[in-house]
Amino acid sequence: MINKLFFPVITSDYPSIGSKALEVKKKLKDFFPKSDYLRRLGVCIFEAEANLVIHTNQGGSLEILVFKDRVRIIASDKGPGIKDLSKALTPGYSTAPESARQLGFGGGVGINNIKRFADYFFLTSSKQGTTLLFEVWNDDDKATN
Amino acid sequence: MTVDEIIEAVGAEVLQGKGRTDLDINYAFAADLMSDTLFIVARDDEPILLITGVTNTSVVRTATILDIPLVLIVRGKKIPPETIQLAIENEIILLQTPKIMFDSCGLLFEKGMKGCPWRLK
Repeated sequence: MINKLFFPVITSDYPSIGSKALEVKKKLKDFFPKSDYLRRLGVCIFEAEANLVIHTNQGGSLEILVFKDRVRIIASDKGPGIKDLSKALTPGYSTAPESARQLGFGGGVGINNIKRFADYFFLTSSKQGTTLLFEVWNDDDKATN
Repeated sequence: MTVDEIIEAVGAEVLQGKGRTDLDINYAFAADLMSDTLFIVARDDEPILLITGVTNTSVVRTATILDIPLVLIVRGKKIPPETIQLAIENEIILLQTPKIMFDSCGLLFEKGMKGCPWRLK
């Protein structure tokens, strides 16, 4: 592992959405010079961060593990959990409050964006919390496991 | 189109002019949902204009993550100073027009601007 970053994310802190994603992108610029890869990674982290702000009741965290050939992101929280995982993965389905929509979020495409752009995707949820783990692989040197 | 031509086409005011002012921009993307904007990707050799009614800081973060150098905010909304400050820090050129999104897109389309065709693979 090259680097490890950790960011707490606060519930309903809408003005902060995207700040962690932007910080990660800037910090990893030297590790991954390919701009296309950094954009893909940045989009995925942005969406995960927005979900934590919009949908959690006690906030959560983003753990970023940087490897030579990929970045693994673990977004976790302590609830309230996703009631219906299959619906949450349906484009356009959203349980985001109006306050989030007015700011340009909650369009129901976030998790799908991550699923589409990540090379590995795992999502589990219960009332006790949600864990989203995904990896974005550097195209030049794809992960093999 | 040059940044100046875009400004002239939509009667825009420059809120923040620090950035890549020498660009020739031929493609644009218009959306008020930032997640929709995140669905597209700008290519290094083809800079993109983002047209939006969103005024909060997330629009600048979205542009920065997607390497979008120029943002046009429509409908004459009041722009929070923190949005302008973040645009300065990240060198995102920020324009504002009182025109609605439809008219802004139409005027730019008339001048030869095309819709952004790229998406993340």
